[in-house]
Amino acid sequence: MEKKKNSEKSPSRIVSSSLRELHERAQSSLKEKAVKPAAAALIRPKPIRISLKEAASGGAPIKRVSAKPNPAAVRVTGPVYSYIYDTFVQEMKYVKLIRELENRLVDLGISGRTHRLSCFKNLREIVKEDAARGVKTIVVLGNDETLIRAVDAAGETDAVLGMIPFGTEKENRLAKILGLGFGTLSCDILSARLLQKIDLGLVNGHYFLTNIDIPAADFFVNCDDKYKLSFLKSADIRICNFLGWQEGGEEKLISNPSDGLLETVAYAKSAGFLDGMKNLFKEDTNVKKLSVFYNKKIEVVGEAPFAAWVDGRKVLNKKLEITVVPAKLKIIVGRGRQI
Amino acid sequence: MYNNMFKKDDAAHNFEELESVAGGEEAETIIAAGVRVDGNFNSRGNVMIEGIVKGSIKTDKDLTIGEKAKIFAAVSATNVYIAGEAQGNIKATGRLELSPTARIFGDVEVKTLVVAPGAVLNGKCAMIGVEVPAEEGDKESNRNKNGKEKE
Repeated sequence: MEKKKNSEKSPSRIVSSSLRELHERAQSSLKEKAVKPAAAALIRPKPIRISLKEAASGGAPIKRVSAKPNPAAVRVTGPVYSYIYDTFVQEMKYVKLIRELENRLVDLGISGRTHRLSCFKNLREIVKEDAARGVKTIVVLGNDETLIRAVDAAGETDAVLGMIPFGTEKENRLAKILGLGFGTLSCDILSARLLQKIDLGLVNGHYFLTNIDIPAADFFVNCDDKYKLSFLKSADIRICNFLGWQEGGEEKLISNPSDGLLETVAYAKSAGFLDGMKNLFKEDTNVKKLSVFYNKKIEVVGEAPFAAWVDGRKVLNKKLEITVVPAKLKIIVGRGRQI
Repeated sequence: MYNNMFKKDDAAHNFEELESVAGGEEAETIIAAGVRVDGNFNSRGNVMIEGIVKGSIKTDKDLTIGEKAKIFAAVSATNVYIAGEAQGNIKATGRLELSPTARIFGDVEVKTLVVAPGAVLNGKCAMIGVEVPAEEGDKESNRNKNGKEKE
């Protein structure tokens, strides 16, 4: 009985033997008739590999997902607006105002992701991350200083920069020039979506919005690679992209941020620099003490490293390469703007 | 329906872009006392000089050289007013005005010239747009030549 069982072939074995025979025949015919390899591939049985997951899903092929997220997919899903709260805005005295603002933003349909700055959260990183996520409008809640800090990062992205001013008018001179209102009015201005492209200055690879102040030191200035400025006495220099000046309570602008030029203002020292700036607007003064030049490229070269204040931040360098990047920053402005 | 909805949403996030007003290139450049400029200085707006300039000065508009200014440069402008010292050729397509304190050492090419008493002008002066009249002898020889040519 056992011999009979062994002699009788199981159906699976019959199939495998027949396949093997077919394969051998195909091999021999290939050698003899030199069949084309494509035809041989048709005859040759292919090994079928099914993973456990596919088996579980009934044999349906499963798309393999890479560990890295698809940036295009992330961009589509991201919010359109992002709001960055400066540290001082998070003080108790602003709680009520922030609640009003947030409600207004929801009413206007422009609410979005919020970030609260702290000693562990860097404004620059937040702006860059949001821009990479596909956020189109980044709004900072703070004063001029907050806006200036955001500009350095926003200049490297395509995002539109907005601002909701907090604090006194003195702390928000740029906001006033841009025509931004205080309180819920600023939300309405954001919602109105008036956009102005303004120039940014670029100093040694970093963007700046307002100006560079260089106190008197041993240096000379190369302008547009065409002429050189030197000073018989020591002189203070201010290189302006976007600067306002207050006189009689009114904001006056000596540097237009959308003209594609930087203004170099030099003041040979005999009185204070600020007095000299005031004299610039006095029409009755016959003798001009301030020198004003308009350039696209400026190099300040010193014999030794000299101090400079870029947007209020101190920098120590031997050479400053300054250029203007026209229409680099898209910023939201109000109807009452001065630019 | 959904397409329309998305279109509306996109439009809601669009911004109205404002045109920038460029006027900086035509603003007045001032070179104050105590400042020295070396090289080729070009400007599209008015230029006012109280300091020292070496090289060349070219502007599409007016140039004012103050009393204490010293220019060692070729100058080209529309209207030029000089109260200081200028060494070099001056070309003014409009008007050149010399104040009593002006001192010029160089050739001058102008359309209109105004010289105040006391001004110093050492150099040739040529007026733009005025033909140089030929001398009498030259006139006769020209007539003879023309007559011969006609015959």
